[in-house]
Amino acid sequence: MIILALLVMIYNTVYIYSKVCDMANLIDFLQHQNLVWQGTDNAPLSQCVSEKHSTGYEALDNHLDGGFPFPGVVDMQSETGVGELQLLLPFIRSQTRLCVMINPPANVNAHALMHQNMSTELIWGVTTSKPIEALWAAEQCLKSGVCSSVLLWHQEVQIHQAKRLLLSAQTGQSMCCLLRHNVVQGGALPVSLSMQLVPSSAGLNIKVNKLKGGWAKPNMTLAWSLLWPQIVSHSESLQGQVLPFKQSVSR
Amino acid sequence: MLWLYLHFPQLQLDGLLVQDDQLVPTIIVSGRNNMVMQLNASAHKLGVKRGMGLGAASSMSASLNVYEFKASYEQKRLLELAQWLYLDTAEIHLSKPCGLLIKVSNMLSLHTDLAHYWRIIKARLVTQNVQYHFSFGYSPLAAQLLAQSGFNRLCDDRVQLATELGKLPISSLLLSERQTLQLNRVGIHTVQALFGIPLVELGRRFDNELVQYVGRLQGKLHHPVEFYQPPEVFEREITLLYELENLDYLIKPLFKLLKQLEVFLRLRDKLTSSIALVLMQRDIEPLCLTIGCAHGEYRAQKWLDLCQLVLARTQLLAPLQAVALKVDKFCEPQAHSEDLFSERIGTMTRAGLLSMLQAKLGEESVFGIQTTPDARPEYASVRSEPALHAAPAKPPEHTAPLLRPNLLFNEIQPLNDKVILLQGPERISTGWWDGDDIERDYFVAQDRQFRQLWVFRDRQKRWFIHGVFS
Repeated sequence: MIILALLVMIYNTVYIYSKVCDMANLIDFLQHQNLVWQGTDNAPLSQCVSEKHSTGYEALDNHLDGGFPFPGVVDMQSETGVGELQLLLPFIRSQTRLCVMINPPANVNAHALMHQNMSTELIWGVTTSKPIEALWAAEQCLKSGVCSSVLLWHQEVQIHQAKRLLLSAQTGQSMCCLLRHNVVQGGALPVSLSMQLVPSSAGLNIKVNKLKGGWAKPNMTLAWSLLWPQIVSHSESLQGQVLPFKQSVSR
Repeated sequence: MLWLYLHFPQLQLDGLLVQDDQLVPTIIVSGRNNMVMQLNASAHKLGVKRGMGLGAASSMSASLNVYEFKASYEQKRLLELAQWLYLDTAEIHLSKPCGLLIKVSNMLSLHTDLAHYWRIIKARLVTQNVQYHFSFGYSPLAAQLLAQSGFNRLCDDRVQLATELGKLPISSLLLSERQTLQLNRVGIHTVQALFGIPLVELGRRFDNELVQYVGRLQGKLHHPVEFYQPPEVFEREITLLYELENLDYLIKPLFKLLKQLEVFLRLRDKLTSSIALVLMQRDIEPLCLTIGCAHGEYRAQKWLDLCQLVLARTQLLAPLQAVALKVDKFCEPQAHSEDLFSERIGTMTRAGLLSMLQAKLGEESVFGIQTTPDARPEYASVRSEPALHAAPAKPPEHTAPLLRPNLLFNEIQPLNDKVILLQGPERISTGWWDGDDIERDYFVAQDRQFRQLWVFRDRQKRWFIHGVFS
C-alpha cells in the first residue's frame, strides 16, 4: 500500500516536472530528490556513502568494505559482554576527539583502558535516568563537534530518533554506536551499518544486517585470539576444566 | 592637587529620618559614655546639645526618642555612599569614621570647570538624604579640617582657602591633647600662627609627629591615601508583575536580568563561570539554583539556554513572586590556543558541551574516568571530573600490561553458572591498611554463552563475578 502511494507520488512529481523539462534533466531531478537508488560503484558523489574508518581489525575491515562508516550510526545488536566494546576500542583509540559513553551497563574500567594504551582523559561517561534524556545527550554530543564517537546503550530506538542521530553525527563529523540487546522491534532503522554479534566457541560471529551502499554479506567470525590477544586460548583443553576447581587449586 | 572632603556628621540619624521624617525629637547616644552624639532639629529646639549626658537630655522632654550609636551602621553607610559616588568620580578614599576624601584634580579634565563637577556630585548626594559639610583643599588634611569646621563653600582659590584654614583654632586640629597643650603654652592659638613657623624650627622644639602633621596639612609632605575599589558583585532582582506558576513564562524576565549581566560583564571585560538564580516563592523558602558554565561566558543568550535546561528540571512548590540573579565570581577571558591548521568542526567547545549536559542532566551525571594507584580493582578506576583539555601525550609505560575487563560490575555478583577457566590465577592480596583488605585469585572464565568473565575466588573459596570482558 505504502509502495503504491510512493509510486503515485513519484509519478505525480515526474508528471508535473516532465512538462517543464526534458528527459535528461528529469533524471537529475529524481536523483536530486533521492528517489533513484543506484549501486555502490556508479553512484554519484553526492550520494556516496560517507568515508570509512578502519575498525582496527583487518578481517572486519575487509568484510565491511573499509571499516565503520564515518560519520554515521552503527547499530550493534548483542548480549552485554560478548566483546562489543573490544570491537570498538581500536577505533576509539585512533581518534583524537572525545568518546562519550552514555548509560553503560556497568562501570567502564579506566584501568583496563589504560593497559590498552588508551588515554582515559578522552572518555566521558554520562548516566541518565530517563531514556529520552540519553537520546538528547547523544544528539548534543554528536553534533557538538568535540566528540568523535558516542556509545549509546539504549533499547528502544524509533525510526525518527535514529534519523536524528544520523543527522547530528553528520553535523558534528562523528560516529554514533547504538548498543542494544534482545532486539525485538521489527523494521529496519535508518542506520549506516547494522550488525549482530553472537559469540561462539571459535570467536565472535558477526552478521551484517545492513551496510549502506554495500552488497549483502555472508556471516563472518572474528577469532577470539584476534579480539583478545592477551587471553591465552585454551581451546585445545576446553573439555577438562570445569568448576569446581579442585585441579587448579591443587596445581 | 585639589581635594574635596565630604563630612557626614549624622549618618545614623539621617538613616532614621529617611524612614520616618516626622519631627519627633530624636537623639543618638554613645553606648560607651552616654553622651549625645547626634540630634535632630526638634531635639535641638528642646535645648538638647551635642556632648550632653543622657540624663540631662532626657530631663528636657519626656517624649525624647533615644537610639544607641552604632559605628558598624555608619561604616556600612559610608561604603554605600562611596559606591554611589563612584559612578561619578574615580578616586575616593574612605576617611573613617564619617568622611569621604575625593581627589578632584584628575577628574576636572572631564568637566568644564569645578562648579560643574560640584553640581554633579551634589546632585548625587541629594538623592541619598544625608547631611554633609564639604570643602575643597590643596591637601587632604586641609580639606578635611575645613569641611569638619563647616566651611561649605565652593572655592578653589589657594589664598582664600589658606586664610580660612588659618582662622581655625589649634584645638580643631587632629592632634593629641599633649601636643595641643604644648602649642598653647608657646602661644600658638591659631593655625595661621602655626604656619608662621618654618618646619625646620618646628622640628627643633616639637616631636617628629607634629612636624609630619603640619607638613601634610600644608601640602608640603606627601600624604598617602588608599582609594576605594568597588566590589565586583552583580546582584539584581526582578519582582514579577504577577505570580507565575509555569516556569516557561520566566524566560522573558530572566532574559532581562541576563542582559544586564551581559552589559555588566562586557564593560569589565570579564566572564563568569557560575550564576546563582534565586526563585522567591510565596510563603516558602526561596529556591536557589546554581548554574555553571565550565568555560566562562558573558552572553545573555548562552546563559539563557543553560538556564532553560536547568529550569526544565526544576519543580516549583509555590507560585513564583520574584527572581534574583547573583554573580560574585568572575574570571578573565582566556584566549583559546588551538591548532590553526587542523579543521574545526562546529562552534562548540568541550567546556560548552559539558556545561550544557550538566545543566540538563545534573552535575554528577557527567563524569570522566581515571586510574588511581591502587591494586584493588574496584579502587583502581574511579570517576573524576570530566577532562576539559586534551591530555598531553604520555610516554608508554614500561610495565607489562595487565589483563583487565572493560566493564566492572558495581556490585560483585556471586557466580552461579558453570564456567570454563581460560587463564589465571592472578592473586591480589592487599588493602590491609584501611580495613578493606582483599585476598582474591582472579581468573578469566568463559560461560556457556561464550562470554568472557572476570571471576575471582576469595579466601573462603567462594566464587564471584567482578567484571566482563565486554
